[in-house]
Amino acid sequence: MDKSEALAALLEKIRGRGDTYAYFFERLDNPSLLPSLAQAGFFKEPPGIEELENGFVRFPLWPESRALARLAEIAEEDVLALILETNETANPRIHDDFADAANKMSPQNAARLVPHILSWLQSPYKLLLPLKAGQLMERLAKGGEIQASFSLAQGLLQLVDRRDAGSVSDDDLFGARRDVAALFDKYDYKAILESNVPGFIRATGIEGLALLCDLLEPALLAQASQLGGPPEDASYTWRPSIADHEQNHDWDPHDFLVTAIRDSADLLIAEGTPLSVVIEAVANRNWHVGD
Amino acid sequence: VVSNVLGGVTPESDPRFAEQPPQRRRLLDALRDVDVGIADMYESARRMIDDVDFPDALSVGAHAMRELMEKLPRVFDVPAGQGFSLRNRIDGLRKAFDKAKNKSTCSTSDGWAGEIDGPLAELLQETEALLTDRERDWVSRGEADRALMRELEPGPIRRGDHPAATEVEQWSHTRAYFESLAHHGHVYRGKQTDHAEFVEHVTRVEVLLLSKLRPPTAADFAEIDALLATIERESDG
Repeated sequence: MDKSEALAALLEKIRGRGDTYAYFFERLDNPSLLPSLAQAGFFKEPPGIEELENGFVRFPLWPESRALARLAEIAEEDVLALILETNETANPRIHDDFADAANKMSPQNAARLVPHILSWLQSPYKLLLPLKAGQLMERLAKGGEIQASFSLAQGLLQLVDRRDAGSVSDDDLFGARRDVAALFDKYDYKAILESNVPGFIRATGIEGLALLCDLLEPALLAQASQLGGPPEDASYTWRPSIADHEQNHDWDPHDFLVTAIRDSADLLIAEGTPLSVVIEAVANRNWHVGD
Repeated sequence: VVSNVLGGVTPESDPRFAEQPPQRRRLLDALRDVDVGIADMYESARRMIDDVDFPDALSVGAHAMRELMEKLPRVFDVPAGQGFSLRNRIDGLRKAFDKAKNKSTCSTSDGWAGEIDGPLAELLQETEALLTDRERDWVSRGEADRALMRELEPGPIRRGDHPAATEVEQWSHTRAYFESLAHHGHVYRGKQTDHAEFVEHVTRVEVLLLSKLRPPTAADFAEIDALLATIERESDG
């Protein structure tokens, strides 16, 4: 049996059988098969979100995207081309797989997936995408893809009107100041700030710090709109101390962001950035929280 | 009827059987293990796909597929939807009642009394069977389709308490297609269909049935491993 005959037999074996299909793609570790599989119609049509009874939804796994995530390490060019050719889907499991693939590619190739990841972050359903995007943001910055890293940081860590955030929980409904929210779970937001932002700041320096300050602006503007405008941000109530303190609320994304800005400033100063430069980036923004 | 149209040719006696793609042969074998009648219906539909010169081939094939889909719930012991014919069953019950009324010693001028005898036992059994079947079968078509899809869930990547809504919808759509075509609804209502669309619907049914009737085996997985090894070896060579 030659290669083409074996391939034909393989396709016959996996088509129309959920079990053999899943088994094959879980076992696939030979990237030379990717073009033939693509030509046979695979990697093109991911399953979408399935609506179930009683308002439930299901996110089907896609063995093909899981194989691509695995093979990205050894065949990133082929995998990138296939991901870019895949039909768009709202299924967050496929978004997760493709973000995994991006995290295994060189920063240059991974950067090409950033526009897609930004779009997926706007989806109402997100599983692990935010955390994976946080890792990618750091990798891109460390790999010299600064612009792509900044784009991803802006999309990932943005604070939006909580009515647009798509996931308002009961404890988001207290207090007039809570007018902004992250696009995803706030504890994931905090985890990204703590895990990935230090590496991001080391790689991007004062510009990265300025970006974090920009990200805080919508939260401060929301406060100011009820208090007569900047510099009034009511931070004396929610952030009485920039240092860690029991009176700090520390439960909303913008609280976490203030802490990240503080720690990033400390980090840059410790690693040699002149104090005056850091102060210029943080304090001269006409907000009390920066005083 | 369809088998007669085909001249009574059985799959075994037809040399074309051996030439069929392996997947089709596997499904045919699997269906014959379950129910010979259903296997014949499937084979008839497939013959109509291949025999493009057969007069009215798609409608004949659609009739076979419709019959197959209607009988599947019985094979898998799930509710059959609107397949429960209340009128026929009531007629049957009426006969049992008349017999008991006329022949049972329990039927007296003062009403029913005494120890259950043969005719009365027959009536009670008929009544029990009717109530049991009604309980099992008297569900909406949507519920019946969902029950069947649950039973047909194909293996590890889709197993769950809830069948995929899209699968239920596709199954229902495919059945409606075959029903319409079998009754020449596509002709009378001016709808268009063609050979490719017919094949697509048959394939959809095939995929689901194969998943259920030929579940994963270690041999299938070993064969995949062997094919992958062959491809790798040939690539290196």
